[in-house]
Amino acid sequence: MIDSIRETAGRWLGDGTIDAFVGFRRREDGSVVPTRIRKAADARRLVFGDGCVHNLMSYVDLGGEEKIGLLLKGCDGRALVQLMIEGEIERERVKVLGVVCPGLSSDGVLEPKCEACRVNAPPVYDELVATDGVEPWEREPSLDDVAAIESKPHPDRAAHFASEFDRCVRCYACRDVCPLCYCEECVTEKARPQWVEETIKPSSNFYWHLIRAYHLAGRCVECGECDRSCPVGVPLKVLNRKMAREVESMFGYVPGVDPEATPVLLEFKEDEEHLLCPGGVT
Amino acid sequence: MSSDYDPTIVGLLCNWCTYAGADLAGTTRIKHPQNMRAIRIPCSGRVSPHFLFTSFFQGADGVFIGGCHPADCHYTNGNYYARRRFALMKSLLDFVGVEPERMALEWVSASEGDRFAEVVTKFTEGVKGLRRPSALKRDGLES
Amino acid sequence: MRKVGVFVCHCGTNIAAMVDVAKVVEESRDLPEVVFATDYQFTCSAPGQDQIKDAIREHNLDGVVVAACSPRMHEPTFRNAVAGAGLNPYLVEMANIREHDSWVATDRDEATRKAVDLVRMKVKKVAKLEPLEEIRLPVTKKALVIGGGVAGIQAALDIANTGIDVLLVEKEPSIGGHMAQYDKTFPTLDCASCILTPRMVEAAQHPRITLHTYSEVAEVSGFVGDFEVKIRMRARSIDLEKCTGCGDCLEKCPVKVPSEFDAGLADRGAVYRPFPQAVPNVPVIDREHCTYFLKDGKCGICQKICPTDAIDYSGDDEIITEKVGAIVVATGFHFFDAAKYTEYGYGAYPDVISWLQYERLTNASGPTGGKLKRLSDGKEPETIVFIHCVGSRDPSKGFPYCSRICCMATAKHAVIARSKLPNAQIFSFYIDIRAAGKGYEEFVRRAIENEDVQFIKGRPARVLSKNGKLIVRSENAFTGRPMEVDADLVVLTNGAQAQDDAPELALILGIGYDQYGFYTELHPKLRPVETNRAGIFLAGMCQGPKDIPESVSQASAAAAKALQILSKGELAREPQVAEVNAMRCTGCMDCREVCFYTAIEEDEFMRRKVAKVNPGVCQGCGACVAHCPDGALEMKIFNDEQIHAEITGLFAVPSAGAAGGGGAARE
Repeated sequence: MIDSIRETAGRWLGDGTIDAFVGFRRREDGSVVPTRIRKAADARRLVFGDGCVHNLMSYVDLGGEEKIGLLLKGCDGRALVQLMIEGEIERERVKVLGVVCPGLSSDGVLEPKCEACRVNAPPVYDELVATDGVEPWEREPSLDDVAAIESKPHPDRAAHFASEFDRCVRCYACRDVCPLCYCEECVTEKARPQWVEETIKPSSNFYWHLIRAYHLAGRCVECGECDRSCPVGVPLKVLNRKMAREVESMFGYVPGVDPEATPVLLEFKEDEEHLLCPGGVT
Repeated sequence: MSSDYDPTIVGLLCNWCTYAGADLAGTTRIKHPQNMRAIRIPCSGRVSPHFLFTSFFQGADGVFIGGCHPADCHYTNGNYYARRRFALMKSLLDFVGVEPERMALEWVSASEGDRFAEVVTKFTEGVKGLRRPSALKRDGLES
Repeated sequence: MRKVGVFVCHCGTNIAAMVDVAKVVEESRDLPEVVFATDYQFTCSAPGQDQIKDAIREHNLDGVVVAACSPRMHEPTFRNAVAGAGLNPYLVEMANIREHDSWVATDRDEATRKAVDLVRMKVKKVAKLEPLEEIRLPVTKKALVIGGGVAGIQAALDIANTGIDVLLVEKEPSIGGHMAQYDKTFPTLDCASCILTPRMVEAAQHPRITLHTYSEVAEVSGFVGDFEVKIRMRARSIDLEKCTGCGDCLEKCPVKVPSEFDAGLADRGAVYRPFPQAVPNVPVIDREHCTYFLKDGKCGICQKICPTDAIDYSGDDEIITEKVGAIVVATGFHFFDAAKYTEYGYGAYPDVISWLQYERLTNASGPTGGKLKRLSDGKEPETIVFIHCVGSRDPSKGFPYCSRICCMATAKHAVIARSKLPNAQIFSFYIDIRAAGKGYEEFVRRAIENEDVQFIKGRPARVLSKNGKLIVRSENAFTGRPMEVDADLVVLTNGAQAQDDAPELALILGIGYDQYGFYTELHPKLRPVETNRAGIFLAGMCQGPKDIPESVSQASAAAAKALQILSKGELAREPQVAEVNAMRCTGCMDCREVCFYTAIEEDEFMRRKVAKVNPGVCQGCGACVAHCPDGALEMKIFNDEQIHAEITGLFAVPSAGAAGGGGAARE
């Protein structure tokens, strides 16, 4: 598998199909990090396997003109498709080397982001690298984390989130690592009005995580990078997963799957009164 | 505290229909609970999630949005967009601890003063029925 | 900090009986922004307004809150009042403590508390208001009318008669539309040509009207007051200046094509004019059928015989660009294709004919000189059957809607048949008779009672041809039994439908259309001739089925609306519009998708794509502002900062004992 990744990346760089390739390399300490290579000869350093958890779509300069080769897992591929849907990147600008992701582990335990995975191969690709013994699949992973919240009475839900968000140091790693966060200036930096107070305190932390979840509703591809990147272990993806299920049940829309889809908030149907009905879609 | 729970409700009423409907409720002297403080907005499609979030964190016990009936929007489609957005805001707030009774998007036309009084009464009673303040209030979170 | 004045109105006892006005004044003084607060019996009265003006001058107020009735009632009053004292009119807000409070509350303390809150919210909002100017837009004093039927002609004349230039664009070789094809009009039986042709001539000769026939609108850009329009003028092949309309070429043309104007009942040449009274009275060469064009220059007869050398085979389509300030769309309709009802045999049996064919058959200037006869054998029919609702009120084969005009047209057709054939048997099969209109019901009664037309409630199932007769099989809904009529002539009253290219033109114009292709009005009740695009108005059938008087009324209404724009040198409007903060904009253009008014376009800022709002087109609904994922859109009036101030203001209750800035200015 790794041979065909190196071969393809080298070939694309060698024949000028792309200007740069974004993949993974291993550092001397054994850890795996994203890397951008520009020479075909460097393709031999590419690796894939446990530790390749990062969403490489976060490394694409959306406004750029370079033609980029990308090694994309299922979750990364959905991010690419969602960015295409939102008109942020043109398919022609990227060459996609898809991998059928076997699921990544750390110390023998499946990564939490992989537990929540819905599709293990990217929806679009130019070439697809097979993984021995792994077929491309789609599935509905366990929603225990969402159900655990929903089983609580409302005041307990608020107390639960308040205590989780209380740890937030507002480093915005969750935002910066997100492939779908590309605003020029974040709402947190807006002063007139200051919707989200900058001060770290329970109400403003809570506000930040709510507006982040709303902003990503119908857009989040559930790659789980926000969760993985949080230095203080705030369980972020449960909010995104909940909203993703809501969007799917309300509008039948799954972000990052169909490049021809219209974003849910850019269209409407005249007969959607059920969206307001108690007992209908909640 | 249950019986004297006196909730504060933020109203976001579209200028062309519900705000005018509220005016008509006044003109025709239809008495109804006075917990709501109305803010005039051009259209229900103007409602951003910040309006709800800010209201709740600042201390609102409920947020009531009023727009023109479907197919009657002064700006043709604003209420349809509002409906989708509101559905998302509501499910998110519900998930993090705001009871669904605290949020409503209702259609009230300029000629429905009676309906305005009716839906506001129903909404207010729904909030009062919870018998406790919203858990998202800043003062509560920070006490 | 802004210096705000608060003026609390008693409204006689309307407010004061339920709200403790003095307490509202007192509490508002505790707000740091408030430098002056007072109350008055009737703040909207002249002395009340003077009180505001005096206070503005005396206390240098730069913001005003009037706590009184609904802003929907008196906002203009108080804007004028503050402007009278030299303050920007957009620096005033009204707290609605009457309709939303004193009139609906039952408890004085509660009503007073609410009034105090509402005033505080408005004070906080006023602190965030900005002085604004009305938006002024230049106006090109010229109108475009698209479609030269009776509605388009009416609109063009109404506008031109005020001295404003009009471009009248018609895609056919002549203006006149469907009305020119009709024999008579209901319910008066006026001859259609006799009332229409003088208007056609008037339009053509009007010094303010420029006629472009055989032409279509290809492109529209710009916005209200300042549209740029590209008009494609199809090659007519005959010089409009040189041609005298003698008609020699028409007679000598060797080509025969079924005449559209005569609904296929007669032929025309490749060089033709639709009808003798055509305006302009200059033929066109139909290049799709002309031998000269089909066979590389062979033929050329018309050129040879033309006495004024007006024939020019070389010209191409030409595109002209014009500036106009307003547009009236009056593109009309076409008749439903009756052949879709195979059970009625239209197209298969020569004596099953359509509405329009019947009009031409009874028209004195038609192919039979007005003689009502069978197309198969030329005999006078002894039994005539009319069938209503062919294509109307029928979701399965046609359209669910009622075409509105067919019941009356059929009654007219039956009465005309009676006048021509006193002894004929005449049947009219209907679903319901819809005769709402001045003199309409009376006309139908006249057909039934005086003209011996048998109206039968029932929708015929089939028309069969047998031994030279047409057997019409139907149910009679009154008797509940099946019946058959042996007819000599069957006339299908086929309904109206939107033009096939209506959606295409809608895209060019940027206006909306419904599921049938009819253009949608801005508001079904209150703005029936306006469209979602400011400056474009609707007249006649293109908006939905209607009869001639309705089309003409709507045309005059559309002209009046257009004149509201065209009669001014510039347009002034409230600055309630959205604005893009280009620094924050990522250029995703989502805003363009949610904008119903096509007010948002692409722009460039620091070599990036960004959105830009055209303030001439924006209606200020705020749908884009609420959507913008980047927080890059804002509004003038009802902006985020102001709404934020109102929400936070509600909860910003001054702590007890804290003295506000207004303490010094108590009255």
